Amino acid sequence: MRYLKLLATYLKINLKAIAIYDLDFYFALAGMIIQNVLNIVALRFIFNIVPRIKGYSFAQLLLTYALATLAFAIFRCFFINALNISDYIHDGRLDTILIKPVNPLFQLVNERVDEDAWGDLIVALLLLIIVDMQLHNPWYITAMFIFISLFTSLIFLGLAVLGNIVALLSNGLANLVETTFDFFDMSKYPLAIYSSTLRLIMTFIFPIGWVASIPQEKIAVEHEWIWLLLIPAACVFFFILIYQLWRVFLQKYQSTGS
Amino acid sequence: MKYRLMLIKVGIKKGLASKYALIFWLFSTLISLTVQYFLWQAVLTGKPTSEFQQTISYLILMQLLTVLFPKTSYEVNDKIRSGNIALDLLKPVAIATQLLWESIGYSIVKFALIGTVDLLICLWLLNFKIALSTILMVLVTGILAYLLYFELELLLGTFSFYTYSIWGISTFKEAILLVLAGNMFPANFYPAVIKRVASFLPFQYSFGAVGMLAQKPSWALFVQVVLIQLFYIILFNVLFKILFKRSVVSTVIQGG
Amino acid sequence: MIIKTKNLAKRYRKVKAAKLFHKEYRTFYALKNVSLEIHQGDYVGLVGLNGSGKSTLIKMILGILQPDGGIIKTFDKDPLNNRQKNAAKIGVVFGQRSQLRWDLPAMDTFKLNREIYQVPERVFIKRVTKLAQMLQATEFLEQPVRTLSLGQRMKAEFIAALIHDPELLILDEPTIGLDVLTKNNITQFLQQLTDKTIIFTSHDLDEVAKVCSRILILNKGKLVLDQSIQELAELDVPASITFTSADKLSADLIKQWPNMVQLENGSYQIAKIKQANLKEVLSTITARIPVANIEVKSNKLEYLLAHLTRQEVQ
Repeated sequence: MRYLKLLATYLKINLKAIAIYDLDFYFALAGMIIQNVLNIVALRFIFNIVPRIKGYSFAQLLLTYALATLAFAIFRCFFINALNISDYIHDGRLDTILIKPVNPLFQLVNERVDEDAWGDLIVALLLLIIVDMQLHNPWYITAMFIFISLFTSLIFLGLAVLGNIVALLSNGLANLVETTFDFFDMSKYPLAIYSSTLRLIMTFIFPIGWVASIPQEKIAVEHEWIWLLLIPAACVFFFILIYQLWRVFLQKYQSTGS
Repeated sequence: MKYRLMLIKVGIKKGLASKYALIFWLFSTLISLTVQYFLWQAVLTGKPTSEFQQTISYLILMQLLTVLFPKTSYEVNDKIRSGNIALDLLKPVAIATQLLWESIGYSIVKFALIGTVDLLICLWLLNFKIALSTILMVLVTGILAYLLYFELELLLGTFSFYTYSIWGISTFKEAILLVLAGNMFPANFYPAVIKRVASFLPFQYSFGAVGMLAQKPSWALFVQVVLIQLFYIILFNVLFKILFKRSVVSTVIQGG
Repeated sequence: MIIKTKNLAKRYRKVKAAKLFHKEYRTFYALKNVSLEIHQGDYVGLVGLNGSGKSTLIKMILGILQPDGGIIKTFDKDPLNNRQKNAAKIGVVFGQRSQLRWDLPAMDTFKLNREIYQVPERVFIKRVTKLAQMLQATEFLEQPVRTLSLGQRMKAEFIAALIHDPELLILDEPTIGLDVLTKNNITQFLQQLTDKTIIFTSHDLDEVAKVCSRILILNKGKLVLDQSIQELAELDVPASITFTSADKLSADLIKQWPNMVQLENGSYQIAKIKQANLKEVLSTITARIPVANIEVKSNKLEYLLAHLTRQEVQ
C-alpha cells in the first residue's frame, strides 16, 4: 500500500518533469507513432512479396508485433531507468538511493519515466484492439492480452537489470544494457521463424519468446486458458531470479564500495 | 591539416577508451542480424538463394552504416545544455570542423572492430565474389553518405537551441530514416510510389543508395547518387551555417 | 548511543601496475583501528585531508559499506543489515551529490521525500515552512533546481535532508564551493537546530569548529585526535602574522624577529609565533610600524597533522 502511494507520487513528479519539455514531448510522441506506423507499413511490404510467413498471415504477425510493442512500451514508460543503473554506480548516486528507507531497485526504477514511449503505448493498445477485431478475436482476448502484457514487461525489466549487473560485475567488460532493445526486436516475431536452438534459448534462457509469441499462440490460437496463469508466473519467476542476482550484486557493492 | 589529424587522434582515443561500448555494439549488431537473417529466410523461402544473399548483405551494410555514423546531434545538445558550447565558440576553429574530425576518428575505431566482422559475414554470404569497382563505388558513396548524415545530425543538434532537449527530434528523425532511408528495409522492395518519393529526399542518400550500389553496381547509378549526395551536402551545410548563426545570436546559452 | 565503533577497519586494493593479462594490486587501509562513540546531541566535526577516510567512515555508519574488521553500530544496530530501518532516522547532505530533481522545483523533491519517509501532510507543511524561513529559502523553492545558484541549491538540499526530522544529521562536505555569506548562513542554521546529533565532515577545521563541540581528526585512515572544542582551543598552535607596510623596517626590528621573511609580493611574514607571544608581537607591530594591512593565521589542521604524526613516531 505504501509502495502504491509512493508509485503515484513518483509518477506525478516524473510526468511533471516531462511536461517541462513540452515541444520536444510532442515531437517524440509524433515520432514514436510515425515510427510504429512505418514499421507496420514495412511489414506490409514484406507481405507484398509473400502471402504468408511460416504460416503466419499479415494480421497474425501484426498481433505478435502489437503484443511485443505493448509489453516493451510498458517497460519503457515505467521501468526505463533500470537501464541507467550502472551510471548511478559510476557517479556515486547509488549512495543517495541506499540511504533512503525504501527498496533501492524500486527507487531506481522510479526515478525517471521515459519521455518518448507514450506514443508506443498508445499505438500498441490501438493496434492490439484493431488486430484483434480483424482476427475476430472476442473482446476478452484483448483484455487478457493487456493483462498479460503487464507481466511480460517484467521480462524486459529483468533483462535490463541483468545487463547492468553483467556490465558492473565484469567491470564494464561487457556493457550489455542497451541489448534490451535488441531483445525487443527479437520478440517482435513468432518463434517459428527462428532455428530450433534459438527457440530453446528464447524460451528457457532469455525468455523473450514469452513476451509475444507464446501468448499469441496459446491464448489467441489455441485458447488454452491455463496459460493465463502460466505466462505471468513465468515472468514473475524470471524476475525473482534476476532480483536475487541483484541482491547478490548489492552485497558485493557494499563490500567493495565500487 | 595537422589540427584535423589531432582531432582524429582524439576521436580514436575516445573510441579505444570506450572499447566496452564497442563490444556492446558488436553484440547488438549480431543479434539484430540474427533477427534479420531468420526473418528474411522465412520471407524468401522458395525464392532463389541469390536474392536472400543479396538482401542480407544489403541489410548488413545498412547496419554497419548505422553503427558507423556519428551521433553528433547528441553532442551538440550536450554542449548546449551544459553551456560548454561557449568554450567551443571561443576557439578559432568552426565547431562543425571539431565535431566532424573527432567523429571520424571514433568511427575509424568502430569500423576496425564491427566493420571487420560485418564485412567478413557479408563476403562469406556472397561467397567472396565481389568486383573491385563495386568496392570503389560503395567506398566513395559511403564516405559521402557519412558527410551527408553528419550534416543532418548537425542540423538536428542545432534545433536543440530551441527545444532545449534532443530526444523528441531524434526519435522523429529515426522514424523518417526508418522508411525513407531504407536502412531497415531493402529499398527495392518498396512499392513504386514510395520508391519515387524516397529517391528525391535526402535520407536515402545516406543509407539505401549505398546499399543499392552494392547490390546492383552500375556507373550510371553511381554518378547519379554522387551528384545528389553532393547537392544535399552543400545544401545542408549552408542551411546549418545560417541556422547556427541565428541560434547563437538569439539564444541565451543555458549556463550553470 | 547513536554510533559506536571498535577497531573499525577497511582495506582497499589499488592497482599498482596493470599488465596485459593480470594486474598487480597493493592493499592499503582506508580505515585502521578506528574506535569512537557518538552520543545523542553530539555535534561532531570529522576533519581530515582528502583521502583520509572520512567518506569511508560515513559510508559505514550509513550501512552502505561493509567493514573488513572491527565492529560498528548505528542506533545500536548493525548498520548493514538494518540499513533501511536506520535510514528513516538519518538525514544526509552530500556536498558533491544532489538528491534534488534537476529539472523540477525543489518542492517536488520534498514532496517525494514526504512519501518516502511517510511524513504526515500537516507536519510536512509546517516543517518546510519553518526550515525555509530559517535558511531564507522561501522564495526559490518553487523554481526549477537547474536555475538555482549553488548556494540556493545547497539550502534546498538541507531542507530535503531534514524533512523527516532525523535524529542523526550527516553532512558530508556540505560547504564545498560555497561563498562566505552562504557558509555563515548555514553555520547559523546548524547552530539553531536542536535535539539532533550532527556529524559534519570537512577538510576545513575552522569551519567545523564554528558548529561542532567535538572534533575528530582522521589521517591516513587513523583516528589521530578526538577532543572537545575547548581542549582544542587550549592547544598551543603557533600562528603566523603577515603584514604590509609602506615604510622600510628599522634595523632593530629586523634583528628582534630573526625568523621574519620578506615575501615575493613585498609583505613581511613572521611564522611560528607561540600563542603566548602573539599579543606582544602584534602590539609591537602596530605600535612601531605604519601597517597598511595585517593578517593573523594559524593553520591548525596542518600543524596538528604534522604534530600528531610525529608524536606517533616517537
